[in-house]
Amino acid sequence: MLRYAVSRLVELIPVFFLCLLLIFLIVHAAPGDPVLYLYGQHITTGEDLQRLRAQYGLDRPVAARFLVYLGGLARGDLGRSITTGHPVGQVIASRIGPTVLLMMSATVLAVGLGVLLGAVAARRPNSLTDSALMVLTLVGYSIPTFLLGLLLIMIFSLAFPLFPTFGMTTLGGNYAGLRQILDVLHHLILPAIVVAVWYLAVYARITRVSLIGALREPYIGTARAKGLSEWTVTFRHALRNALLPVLTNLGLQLGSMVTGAIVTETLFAWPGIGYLSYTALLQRDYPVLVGIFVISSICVLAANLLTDLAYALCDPRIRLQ
Amino acid sequence: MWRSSLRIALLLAVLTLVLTPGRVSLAQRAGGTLTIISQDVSIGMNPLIETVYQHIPRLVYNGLVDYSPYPDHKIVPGLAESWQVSSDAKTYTFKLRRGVKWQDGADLTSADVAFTYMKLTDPKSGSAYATLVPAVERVDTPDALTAIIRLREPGPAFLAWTWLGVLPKHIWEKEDLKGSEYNRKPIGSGPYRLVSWAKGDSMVFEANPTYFKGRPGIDRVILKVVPDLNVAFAALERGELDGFFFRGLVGGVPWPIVERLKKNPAFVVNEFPVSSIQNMHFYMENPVLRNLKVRQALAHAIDRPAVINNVLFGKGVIIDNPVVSLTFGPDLYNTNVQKYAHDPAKANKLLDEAGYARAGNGTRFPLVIYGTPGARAKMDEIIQENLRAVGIETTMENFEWGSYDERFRVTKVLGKTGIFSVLSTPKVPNPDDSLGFVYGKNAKVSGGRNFSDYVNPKIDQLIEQSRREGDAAKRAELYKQIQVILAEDLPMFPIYSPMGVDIWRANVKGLATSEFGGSTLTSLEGARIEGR
Repeated sequence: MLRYAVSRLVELIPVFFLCLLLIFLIVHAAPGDPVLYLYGQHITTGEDLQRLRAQYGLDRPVAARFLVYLGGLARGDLGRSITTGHPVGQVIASRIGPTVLLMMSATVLAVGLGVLLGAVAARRPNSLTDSALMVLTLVGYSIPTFLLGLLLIMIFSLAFPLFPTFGMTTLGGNYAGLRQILDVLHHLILPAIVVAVWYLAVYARITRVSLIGALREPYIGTARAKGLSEWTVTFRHALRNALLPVLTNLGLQLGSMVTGAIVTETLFAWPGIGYLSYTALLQRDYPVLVGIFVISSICVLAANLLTDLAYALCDPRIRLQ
Repeated sequence: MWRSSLRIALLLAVLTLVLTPGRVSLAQRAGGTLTIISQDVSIGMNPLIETVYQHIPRLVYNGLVDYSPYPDHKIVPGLAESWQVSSDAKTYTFKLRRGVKWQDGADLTSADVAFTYMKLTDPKSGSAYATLVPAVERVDTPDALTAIIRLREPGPAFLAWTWLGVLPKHIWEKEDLKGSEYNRKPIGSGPYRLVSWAKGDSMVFEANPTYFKGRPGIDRVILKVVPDLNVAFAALERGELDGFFFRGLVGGVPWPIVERLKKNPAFVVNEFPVSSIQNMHFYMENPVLRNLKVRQALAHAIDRPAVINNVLFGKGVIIDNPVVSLTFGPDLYNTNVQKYAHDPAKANKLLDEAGYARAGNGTRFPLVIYGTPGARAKMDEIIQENLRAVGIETTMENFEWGSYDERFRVTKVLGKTGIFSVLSTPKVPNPDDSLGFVYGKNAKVSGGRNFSDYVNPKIDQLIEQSRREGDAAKRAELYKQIQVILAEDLPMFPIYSPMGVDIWRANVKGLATSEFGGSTLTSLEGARIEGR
């Protein structure tokens, strides 16, 4: 098992390096320039532009910049933001908390409600309930995030003012303790719902298909023959086995969680990594963008590795191959 | 188990709704706090390096002068209580107010002014204004309250720039202008101190009790970034925010929402013309656009009232000068220039005369209209139809702003096959800043401001003359001549000047709309919230 783990880890190194190279090249190849964003109409001549680009090291070839970046990365240095001059690591670290909170909340909501809806649909396949739920999940899967967010704001912030329209805390509130927690929760609800809806649809459908299959297994017939209630048969016996695909998806999803949800965070001005990505993209803040993508790559690769190791642990045939 | 979890979740939900605030104005509840929708400072809270939102440092710093509110925008005393300008516009003598303190308690003196202005126009210092502001040769300080700024060349427009904040020498003399931590924790002389800053999210300012004009009436000001304007205005209506001051808005104001707020007595809504001009650029190296009759035909073909009515909801004005705004006043804005009313028949005639007769399929030549998504794309759709009506076969191509900017400013590829629009916004109420768009030395260089690559020796001569002319009336005459030539030559065609809007809660008194300098934020120092 250890040998398998080490071999998988070694395989990931060139994959990571390739990701890093592609990320760096793509970000720097995009048209636009951070100097143009920052200085815009302050640039009066061509010499101005060249001088400013040189100040930010943007006059060097991309290959040279990549080597410098590699050297910094080896020392754990992700560089400095072009717009603020602050270490990229610090900038990203300050935004990870809100993103994890949002994504974890959305995940709990999506998995909990998605599995529940999928199970309800699976109990009576092709019934009216099943069809209605599948149509609902299809809508959830298809509706653009931006539209859903605006609709929720219109309904639950304006028409029925139950929730705030944006942000993570009440401006000027300066709450502490329980009040602060409740304030954050209050702000969390709408963006979490927006993020959760798509994943909820996915988990509901996966659960439905998987549970329908599980309910056809012979042991389910035995359970029914023993006189167990349909509720116990479905949720205590069949669902546990049907959840494996859900868990697999969840494991893979967790890896990409750190990048947040760009559209949702931007719409609700939720101060997470997604929102940071949006502003860094507009400002062409290359070090911040590359830093975000690098950390995201590491998380995705780590999640994949853990999933593979979990499978290998459960199934010895995999690690003997 | 799950029933217990459900009960706990419901209890939490009820507690959340009960304990957290609903539709209440923060201005009333949180004790003298005003929250304003804003953008975030892009580089730092330093008047010498901040470029995009340079009005925000005005909360912490003062300049030698200020601007009076709209519509006058006159230069009024700031840190300087009076000033004199030499007849050759090379020497500016400022008398500073007595008793002004920095926020760390030190005295503000002429040494600070000297330090600031030597940095301001030094390209090596990192100042973002080094090539915009007339270059300073030296600053003499005969006493602590007198600063004599001597320019290298005559600079009649120099005074307009002295609204930029003065930096404390004792803090900054050993600091790097761009990299210093004081760009995040500034110490100024202004009405507010920056107490916290979550980059990209919000800035919190607290009143400075030792401000030389007296402690501000509003204890705290929060500038909150809300990237989506629909959400921002929803928050305004709901009471989560107290104000919106139009400034450098990308994508345009959501006017339907503004119209709704006008009917709400809880808000003050000020609409005002701004100095920005949306110009359609005609690239002079394009063989088709190089023909004056073609440019004039395009100008006559474009239906500007339709653009204003359909894209801006009527919130714009037709302007005939591409570099001088209506807001600069009748002394500078020349109404006696060649005008281009919407006249498709005349456009057709000019195109025929230019040698571009209609072919068998009714078209003359192809042209791409380049733009960006949003309001500009909507404008371009109308223009596309206008040009098709006179036989020009147009296609549209949109880019994200960063890509668009690079293509018209650096690589200059757009003009070779089409026309493109740029909204230019003067930084001071003086034409001098905008003349760079038509100055020959800025043409045909990557990154230069002359996007049309327009070169006219007569224009260059007039610009250089205006920069040496110390007499305001004579200078105004030179600007007017420039406007006449530009209207004839049409290197760019002014489509409209947009309206701006300031919105704040009706219980906030003392605010005044302004576009220049610190904009409406300047008046925060004299504002107060009633009813608390």
